[in-house]
Amino acid sequence: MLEAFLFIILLLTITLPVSYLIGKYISIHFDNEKNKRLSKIELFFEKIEQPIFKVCNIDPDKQMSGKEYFLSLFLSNMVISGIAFLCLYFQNVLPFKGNVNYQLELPLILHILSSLITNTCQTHHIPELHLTHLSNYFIMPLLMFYSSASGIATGLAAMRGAVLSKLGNAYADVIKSMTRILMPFSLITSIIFAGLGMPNTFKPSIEYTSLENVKQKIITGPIAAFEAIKLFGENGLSCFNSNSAHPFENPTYLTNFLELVCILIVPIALIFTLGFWLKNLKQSIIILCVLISVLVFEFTTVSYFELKGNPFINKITEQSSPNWIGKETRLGIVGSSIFGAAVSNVSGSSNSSLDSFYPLVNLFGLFNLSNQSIFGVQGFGLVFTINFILYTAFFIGLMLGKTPELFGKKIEKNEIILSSILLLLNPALVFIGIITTLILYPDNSNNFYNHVHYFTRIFYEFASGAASNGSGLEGLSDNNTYWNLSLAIVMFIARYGAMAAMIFLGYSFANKSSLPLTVITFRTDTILFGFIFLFMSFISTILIYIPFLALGPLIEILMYR
Amino acid sequence: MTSIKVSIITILLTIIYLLLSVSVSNLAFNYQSNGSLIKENGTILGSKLIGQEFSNNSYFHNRPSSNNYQNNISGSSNLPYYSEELQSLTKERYEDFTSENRTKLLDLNLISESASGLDPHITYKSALSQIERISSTGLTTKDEIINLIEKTSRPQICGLFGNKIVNVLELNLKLRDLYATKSRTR
Repeated sequence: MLEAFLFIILLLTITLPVSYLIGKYISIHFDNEKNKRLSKIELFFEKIEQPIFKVCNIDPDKQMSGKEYFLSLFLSNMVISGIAFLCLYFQNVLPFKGNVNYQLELPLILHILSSLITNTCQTHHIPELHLTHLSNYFIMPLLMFYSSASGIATGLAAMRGAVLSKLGNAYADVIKSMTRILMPFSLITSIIFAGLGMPNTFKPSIEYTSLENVKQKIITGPIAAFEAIKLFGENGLSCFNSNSAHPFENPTYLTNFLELVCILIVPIALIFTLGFWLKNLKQSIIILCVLISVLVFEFTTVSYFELKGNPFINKITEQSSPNWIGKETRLGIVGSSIFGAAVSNVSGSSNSSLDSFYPLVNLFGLFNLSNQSIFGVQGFGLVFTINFILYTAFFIGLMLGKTPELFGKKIEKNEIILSSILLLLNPALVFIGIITTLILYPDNSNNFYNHVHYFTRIFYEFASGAASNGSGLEGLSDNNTYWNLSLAIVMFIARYGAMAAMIFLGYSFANKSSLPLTVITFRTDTILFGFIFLFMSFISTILIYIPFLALGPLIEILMYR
Repeated sequence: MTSIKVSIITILLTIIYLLLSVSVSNLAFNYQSNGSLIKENGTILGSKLIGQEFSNNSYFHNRPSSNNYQNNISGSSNLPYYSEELQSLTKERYEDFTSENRTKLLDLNLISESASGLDPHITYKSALSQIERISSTGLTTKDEIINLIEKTSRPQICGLFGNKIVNVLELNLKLRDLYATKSRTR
């Protein structure tokens, strides 16, 4: 356990200061303040962006309405998926095929596109078998960049609306998130990763004969470049079937640690940005304390149970060993457990076989996927956090019998409707998905445990699709027409429904005037508020999901006590 | 119209990103960028990071893999924690281990599947549990094998993080050289 504690402490001491700096950086670069003095970095980036804006006819200072903002994002998302669709459909004709010659079926292409453009990155395909070199190492990063930038833009627009009373320009936000956040940070990270052992080359494969005279083929590619955007963009798609467990994607203990740092930096930074824009850093610190304490609780509990090991296996083998099944030797038990616990919180990339973990991980995972605010997806997680702040403020307002306020703005009917949509869209999609699947494809085995675990797998699959997370209990053989199409639809509705609600929420706040702070205002930056926030966030998730959690992972845990 | 232009700009930016990243890392870290290959007189023997299958009794074995260390694919069988398949499979592997090695298993690591199916390492204890089998082939002595393991193994980071691990390919290459020198002197 000492290793786990030190690991977490080290993780936080590195992540928090870096996130603070990046949060400040984002707050300065994205506040759309006119007539301010630009720093040297800003001038440098402006020089790059000016010609892009000029070519595309974008006026970055032009404020969009909620509808314009959403439609621009939606339209550009669709255009880029259209281009990607053509490239994937004709991947056999296009150059740079590498080792693969495979005609993708239509449902699979729809699933890949839907999961990529919504930043979910659920993988039903096997990259080594189904995607050519061009599709895997160019189309995928392209979509990852764009979906992640759209996520950041949505988050920033909603936050800007709520705090700075303006929405901004969708195209300018997307391009700026790519040129100022994703590309430079990914570039630096990819070179560090390459130094630590990840291949980064355009060569598609290396052939050799092993010591036992077997002809082998190692698949390579620009893996470090791929990995950097995968982690910084919270995408979690992998260029290999086994995701971050593949030795090329995660060559040492150190890269494993750095990957965790990378996936945590931007979501934490965005919460710092909220504090900088509110000119009230205490607000972000309170929120962060709540979120991080949940995270640390999950990390330590999961590590504890994995280190304890599987009692059944230990009995068979006369050992008292930790649970090594589905974990990589070089990453160790603690490195795998903490990464495994973080999977459902942030990015969806996993470095071990989630199915073989103690079922508690699935319980935590399903809670996180349903809650969506414990860092969550790029940009969206931030809005879900703000949504829970709003929800808590509304609740407190009702209790005290006053007009509820969020950041000095009145919460009225319109905001509550949008906030409820955000809260209820996910469960609606998940439940419809689970019920349809259980009716169409019931589990045929006679074993009670298999039934329960099948339910958990279905629940997890839909929850991760609806939460745009993309991790999965991979034991489900899910590359078939039903799974591909149903999840493509779920991911699409969940993402763009939430995106619309978020942007309109921001826009409706942007049109309100701020109320002055008075003595009777219930402040949202106190420790008391932090506790109520945690409670509300926990209760509202549990109230919706407890029957489903009880049917799946809870039974698994209790069954073998 | 604007969205089409923005998409094209994104495509260009991605191309620039990939080119920059690959060229800089190839200049700065050529060995790692090309897959950390182990070469001997120009022929590739494998990658330091990708595991290979060893079934010969006189060499160290890797962990079990769901795809028998086929290097162009990865993944594990993802058996659930409490499932009967996992228990029967582990039991089978444990019995195979005891009948093959005629010694006590020191670490579960050696008979449990890895997540990628390409794990190049085993733990130090897993390496120690194989000594009996390798020395019983009569090609070398126990002390020499222990000596090799000690030389090849990598300790915990700062004595705290991770496990003491051994790269199986590197260890087996050393073992092969040892066998070669022995047969020459004999």
